[in-house]
Amino acid sequence: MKKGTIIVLSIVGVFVLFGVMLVGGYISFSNDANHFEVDIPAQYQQMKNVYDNGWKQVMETAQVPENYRDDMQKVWQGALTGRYGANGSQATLQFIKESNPQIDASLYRKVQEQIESFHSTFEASQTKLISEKQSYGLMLKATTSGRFYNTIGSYPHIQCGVPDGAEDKYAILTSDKTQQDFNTHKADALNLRK
Amino acid sequence: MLDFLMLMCVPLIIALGALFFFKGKVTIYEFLGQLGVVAVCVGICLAVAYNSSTTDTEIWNGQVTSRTRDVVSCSHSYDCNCYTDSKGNRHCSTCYEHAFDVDWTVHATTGEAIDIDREDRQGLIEPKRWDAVYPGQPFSSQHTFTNYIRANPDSVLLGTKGDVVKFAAMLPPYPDTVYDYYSHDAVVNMGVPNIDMNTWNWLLANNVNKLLGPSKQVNVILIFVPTDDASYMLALKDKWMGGKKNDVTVVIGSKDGHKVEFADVMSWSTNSDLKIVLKDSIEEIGTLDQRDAIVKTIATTVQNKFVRMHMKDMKYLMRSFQPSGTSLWVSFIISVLLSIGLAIWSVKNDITDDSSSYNSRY
Repeated sequence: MKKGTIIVLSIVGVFVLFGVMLVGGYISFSNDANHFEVDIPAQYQQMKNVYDNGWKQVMETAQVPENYRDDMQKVWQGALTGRYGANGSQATLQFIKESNPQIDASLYRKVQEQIESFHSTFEASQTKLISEKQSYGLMLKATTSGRFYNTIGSYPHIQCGVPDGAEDKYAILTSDKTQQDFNTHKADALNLRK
Repeated sequence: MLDFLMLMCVPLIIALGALFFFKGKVTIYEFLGQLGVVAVCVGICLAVAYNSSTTDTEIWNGQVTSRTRDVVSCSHSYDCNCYTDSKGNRHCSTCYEHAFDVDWTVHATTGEAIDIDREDRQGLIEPKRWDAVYPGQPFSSQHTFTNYIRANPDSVLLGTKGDVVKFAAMLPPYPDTVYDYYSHDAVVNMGVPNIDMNTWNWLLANNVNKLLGPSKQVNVILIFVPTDDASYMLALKDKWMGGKKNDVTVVIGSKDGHKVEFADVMSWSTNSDLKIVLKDSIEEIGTLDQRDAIVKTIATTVQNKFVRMHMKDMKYLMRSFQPSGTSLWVSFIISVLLSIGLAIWSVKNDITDDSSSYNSRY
């Protein structure tokens, strides 16, 4: 083989290698973007799942103290009736050391913990969703490969709020109060008795 | 990949320039070799940039199960029976100083074994440190792992930013030091009076970490801070980037070392109950004078509620990772300088045999 041919082939080989790596880079970028496009809706579903389980659990746990209170009422009634008779105490003077059944406060604490746990788990689930969207946005906008390859890929292909301000079918849940405060950019001090 | 290709552009131009401008002085193999060396160098630079952003250390806990005296092959070799053959080449055999060596080993429930330093070269003398080892001793070891959260320090996963400047004096460095082979102090006091550190460390190591370490893959850290400001937790979260994947960091605020002003918990545990129940339980105890009760609460809650996060669940953070501008510039400068150096070297030196047609100069 002629010297010139070897050199030309070598140089062409180097450029082909560059080209292959460029294409490989796009495939890798595309895989990553597609991962996000599957993960974000999946995390949204997971968020619904957490919400559904969470509030059901809270509602069910909350019924326990209520039932307990009703049962306790019956126990009290029985205890008082037994002690004083159906018509109350008929004695002129009565010396009694009272010992009444107590409501177990830990039941209420359990409900409180359940509510806190629900909020915390749901917040974690929403945070994960926000984090995935943030990472997707960063990948497309703040990495060299994202900016370069996305001129071809035109991601995102789902409506997930990326880039910021875009349509979002997978928005997190917020309350009316939050929406209102963020729309007006005003937040009043919390008044728990109001 | 794109970063790599971009970093290779200038070295490629330099190599092509050398090939064409110094006709007859640079062979095609020198050209390809030059590119190959620079490509390896750029690859290493990028690998360092990626790994330095994600490599982290964590502590594993367990307890000593046994100590053994192991007879092993001698590790002290030397050249012996040397001779020079008729061609002038020197040949040697490998000899060993001893018929055997002795290793003094400690085994732990973490599945690890460590050797205590020998007191003599062969290890025949029983080391005093080995003699002090007994089963049931707390055992800790340091390990490196890939922490994807470090790759994305501004992730919303880290939550609200804390006031690191305000609490600077109360923010400890992460306690990842293992000393005396396998000892680790998981209790940190940032200035709370009346805290008996030895007792707290003993209680935490013996009642929590050594027992739950292997089964729950957990590392419980206890920090005492002289403040009643619960926003301290946000600053700590910022500084430690949420801690390690197996950590449960319990923070107790107390000004006098008796009254618990606040308690809080930082952990990547996937079960959120852990933080709530543990925080509430410690605040309910309310006093640091009940050390046993606090440690027992920590042990019970971690046992029942802690579920270790798996770092692979955070791998998506790497997709948005971009090496820092500094690391890219450093890689670029190194690759360009190396490329120029290799080009000059190729021009000035002949490394190939001109008689071969494949190595012929252009």
